[in-house]
Amino acid sequence: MSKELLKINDLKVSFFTPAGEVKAVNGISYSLESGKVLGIVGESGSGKSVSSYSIMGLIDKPGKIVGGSIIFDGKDVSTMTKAERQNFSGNEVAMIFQDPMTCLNPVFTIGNQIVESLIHKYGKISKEEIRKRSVELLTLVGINEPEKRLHQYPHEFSGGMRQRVMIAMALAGSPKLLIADEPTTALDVTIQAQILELLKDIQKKTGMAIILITHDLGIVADMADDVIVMYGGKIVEYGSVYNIFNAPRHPYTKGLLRSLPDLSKKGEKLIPIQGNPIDLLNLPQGCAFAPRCENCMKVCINYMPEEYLTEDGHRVSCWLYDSRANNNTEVKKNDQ
Amino acid sequence: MTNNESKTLTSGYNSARKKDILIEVKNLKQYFNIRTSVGKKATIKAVDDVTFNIYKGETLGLVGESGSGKTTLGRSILRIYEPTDGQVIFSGVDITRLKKGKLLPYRKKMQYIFQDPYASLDPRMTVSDIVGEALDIHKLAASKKDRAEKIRELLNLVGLNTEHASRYPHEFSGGQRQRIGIARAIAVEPEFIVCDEPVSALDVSIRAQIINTLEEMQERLHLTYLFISHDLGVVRHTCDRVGVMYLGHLVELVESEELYKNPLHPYSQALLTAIPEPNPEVAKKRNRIILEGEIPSPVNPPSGCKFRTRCPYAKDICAKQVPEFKEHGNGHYVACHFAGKL
Repeated sequence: MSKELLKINDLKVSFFTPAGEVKAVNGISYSLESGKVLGIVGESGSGKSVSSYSIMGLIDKPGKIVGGSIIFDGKDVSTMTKAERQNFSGNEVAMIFQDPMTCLNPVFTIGNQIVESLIHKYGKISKEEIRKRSVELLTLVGINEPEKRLHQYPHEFSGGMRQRVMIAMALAGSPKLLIADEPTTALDVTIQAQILELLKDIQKKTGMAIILITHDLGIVADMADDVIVMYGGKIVEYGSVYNIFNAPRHPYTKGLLRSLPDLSKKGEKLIPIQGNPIDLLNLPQGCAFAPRCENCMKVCINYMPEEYLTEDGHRVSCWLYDSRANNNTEVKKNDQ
Repeated sequence: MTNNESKTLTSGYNSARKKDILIEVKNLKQYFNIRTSVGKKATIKAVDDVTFNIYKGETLGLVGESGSGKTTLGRSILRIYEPTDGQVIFSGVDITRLKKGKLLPYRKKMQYIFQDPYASLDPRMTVSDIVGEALDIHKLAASKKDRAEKIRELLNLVGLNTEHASRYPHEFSGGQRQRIGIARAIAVEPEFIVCDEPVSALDVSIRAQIINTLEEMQERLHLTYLFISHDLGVVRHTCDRVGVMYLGHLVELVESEELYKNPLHPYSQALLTAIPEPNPEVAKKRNRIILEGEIPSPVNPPSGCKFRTRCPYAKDICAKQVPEFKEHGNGHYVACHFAGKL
């Protein structure tokens, strides 16, 4: 069961803009076993979406994968031919997006759009077979009266229902991996709860792996087995969901968890992370988080930290975990 | 010693503000006439017969799904919309029907902080113009020098630098823009601010900064907030009391701690279990109340209790009779036929 499904090695993605090279993903490595749920958290611009888009081959000009490799189920994704690529996306890996309103074509019925995914998977299949499978898919994602709904257009569906349709289309190719990019951000909390339950349920039934991209730590705590925390195009921390939440190591992860209002008592001040989000055009020379970090040392400003493995199986990129780190080198932020 | 003193001071302030009503909202109705896609006339009852008080110095939270009417309610109170019926009484004066000139002094007392810091600042105005515009309208600056001085003070107050004054909105990050929005709101020395999802559009690491700034401003300037949000974690932290809205109705209104401990309306109960809990032990084990379906269309709402179509406990009476919004002890208001019996 615990087979390595996806292995990403030192992946680098850059966007070449008139203002300069934006290093959206700056050397990340991780692997994912089949049947697991991996949560990727980070703020806007941290590279969490771009890293996953590159698995699907969705990086368009001016963006480019400038280094590293993506191995899916033993095959190198970057060396695939166009035909292989077509077969790969949809049937091996599928993706659902944040905004179900813009992902469906408004001039085709839902049935028409599901057919596309089915033909993509099975080639020539009979009309009867298509109808049967479409109904099955809609039933699986919890849409009532599937026969009738197949003939309706996207505008006749609500936000939550559209996301269900998106999930049905993603499942049409029975993928081994589902990438969910902020699947519930556009939805209300009660609908969000419905969709999360649905994803859990489907994952149990099909045994597929899920990469869940979100900025909501609550969703990650609920769904994920493992968690990657990204900042400035790098993985700053990687560990099991229990480790990340109970024993965070990186100052950014610690800061994020501390700044959540749920954990602090009422009446007490929240403890925010200071400073502003980073400018990807102007990445600091050293650790990207250094300008906002309360434990910032001299070395952090000038050198990129390596990745350290802690005793509880965490991976963390921070100079604090270097054996040479001690308090003597600590500098106040003002001294920068 | 000083600690003790400040404690008694704040508790004195607390108990005093219980009695001081700043704003009374009475049977407020805000209807919008629309044409449906087939050209039929219809009425959306965005806010339907809502009654509550806002006390001086408190932060009153408003939660609910999109389409529940929380933003409309906030805007109707400020008369950004003209209320269809009902009254808004600010410090004893009914402002619902005041004409433009008479309303202006009240406009100064009530301000608004918007959700989207990208859309709510004019991209062609510098920060000093954005903040200064409010000063000009209400003639709060005696001279050019005074105006510049006031703007500088305001920017410092919300955590921006003086040199930011000559820059344009696009030069700022989301969190900084929201600070500009706050500076603009407090420029006219208001008593009451509607904060409409002030942190929803911001990154998680920035949210706490802005919440702290809002709380600081409240302490310093003795502000009263109506805090609209769908993030129940943020609401729990910032609000003294919370109102829960559903399809234009206020269904529950209670002290915020009490709401989280003892929600009486089935909608509040479901809403609370739907919040993702950032703690894997709790999140993976708990039982959620998953509501079926979605919020119905406000053009054609259900009869009786508007929540009945999604309510797991709905009985016959719920379809026939609109439940009364009444007190269940200790300032805990609920609109449910079976409140306390579920």
